[in-house]
Amino acid sequence: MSARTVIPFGPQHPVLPEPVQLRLTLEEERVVEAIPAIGYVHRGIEKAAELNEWVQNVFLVERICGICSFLHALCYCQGIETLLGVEPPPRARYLRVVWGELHRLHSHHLWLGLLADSFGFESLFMQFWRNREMIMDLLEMTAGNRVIVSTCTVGGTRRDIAQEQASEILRTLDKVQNELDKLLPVISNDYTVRSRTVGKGVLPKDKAIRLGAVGPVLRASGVAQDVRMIGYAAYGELGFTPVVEQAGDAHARLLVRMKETYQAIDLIRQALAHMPEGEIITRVRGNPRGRTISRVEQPRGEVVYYLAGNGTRNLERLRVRTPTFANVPALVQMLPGCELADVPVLVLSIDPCISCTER
Amino acid sequence: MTTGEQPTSALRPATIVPPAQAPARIENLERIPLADLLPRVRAMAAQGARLVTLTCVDMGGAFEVLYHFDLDLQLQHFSAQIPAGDKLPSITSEYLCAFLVENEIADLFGLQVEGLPVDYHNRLMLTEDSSDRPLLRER
Repeated sequence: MSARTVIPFGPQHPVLPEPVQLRLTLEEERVVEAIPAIGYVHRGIEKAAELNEWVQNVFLVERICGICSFLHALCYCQGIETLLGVEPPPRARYLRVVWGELHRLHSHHLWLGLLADSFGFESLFMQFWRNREMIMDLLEMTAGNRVIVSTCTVGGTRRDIAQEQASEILRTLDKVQNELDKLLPVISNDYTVRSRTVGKGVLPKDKAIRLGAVGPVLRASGVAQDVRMIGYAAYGELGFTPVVEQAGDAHARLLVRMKETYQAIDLIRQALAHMPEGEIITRVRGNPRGRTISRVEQPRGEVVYYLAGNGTRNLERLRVRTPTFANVPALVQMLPGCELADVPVLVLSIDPCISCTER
Repeated sequence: MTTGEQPTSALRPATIVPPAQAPARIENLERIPLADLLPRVRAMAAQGARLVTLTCVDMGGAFEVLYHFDLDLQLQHFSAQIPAGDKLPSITSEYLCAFLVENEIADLFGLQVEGLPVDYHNRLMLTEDSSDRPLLRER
């Protein structure tokens, strides 16, 4: 047996936008063990949620993650709505789909660019990020903000999308799709992309389930599981089928996310076409009582909220299990056997969001 | 004013009383004694269920630990109570992925977990010099 070396991968590393550490044990160039270390940016949001009033928490949970802020608010608001026994109006449910899918679309663009960057494909990185700007402009146009949009609230939404805004969204989505059509062959067939991702970090189906993987990581291993299938917001009325790949490697995870960008565009078009007229918010009364579980599919996978209320303005407990927290064990199991040079690509292949993980 | 008539604005009460309704409950939640935990978790693993996460709740003098499982998008929950000071058995023998959340519970609640394959010794989330148990409720 050759000598073993321990390499601290992170918390500061060119491929990591946020701090996380993997203690890699290597035999020559090959990884034999990886131990994750988190806690560099823990913010105590679950505790803050007990100290704030439940109405204020909508804005707090949006700050768990800048990339999927709307979906955190959506998951929280759906949970509070269950505790209060209120239903958002139909138009609000469709508006939630539009903003939710715009978030997924820009998040996947961000990740597709970052992955290209991780193996030095700078022009591909820039093309994805240029595309992403068009979606960020749509968020700014409809919500007034690019990142933390704050359009979701308990009982519905805080803003409506006017007819001319909907037309602008559709025009922009045509342009985005046009650009994606040029990039899809690169993602599927390009020599560089394939040689860095095909057969790397294979996660078989049964292992993915046993390790608690979620989202594109789970679906790239052949498991057709997506929380949108339970039909929250307006997904139940929009004819949703999840994107699934069978290979379980980094390339399959790449394809799932690439295809989900097309799916997000399609869902926004459907939601805008079928959006009913009417109110956008049901006014709520009283304070939440009892406890419930709320789930939403974020770009990185299933997010789970446990909410417990006691009839006062403060929640008794808010627990948030974010998708990256669930995907870290899968990542740790993917790494042994791979080469050190593949570690950055594999770390990115789970689309890690550390601010989510730490909360 | 006859019955069913709305009060005038001058008489409207300042606080609006919500309609009486039962508190919301989690469906498919089963309370189990701690001794049954590992056999039940093993049975879930045999069915091919995915471990969603664990939730720890400080009940004052005891903890409630909820185990959330997903089987084809159906959730199943087990709830076990454990007195403060006792050790929680780790379920990592069945679900290795639980090591992260069990370490987090140990950090933030001070609930000791027995049988962890990777033990961060309460330093997963907290700093070296911290003796806080931040998620314990203030009473």
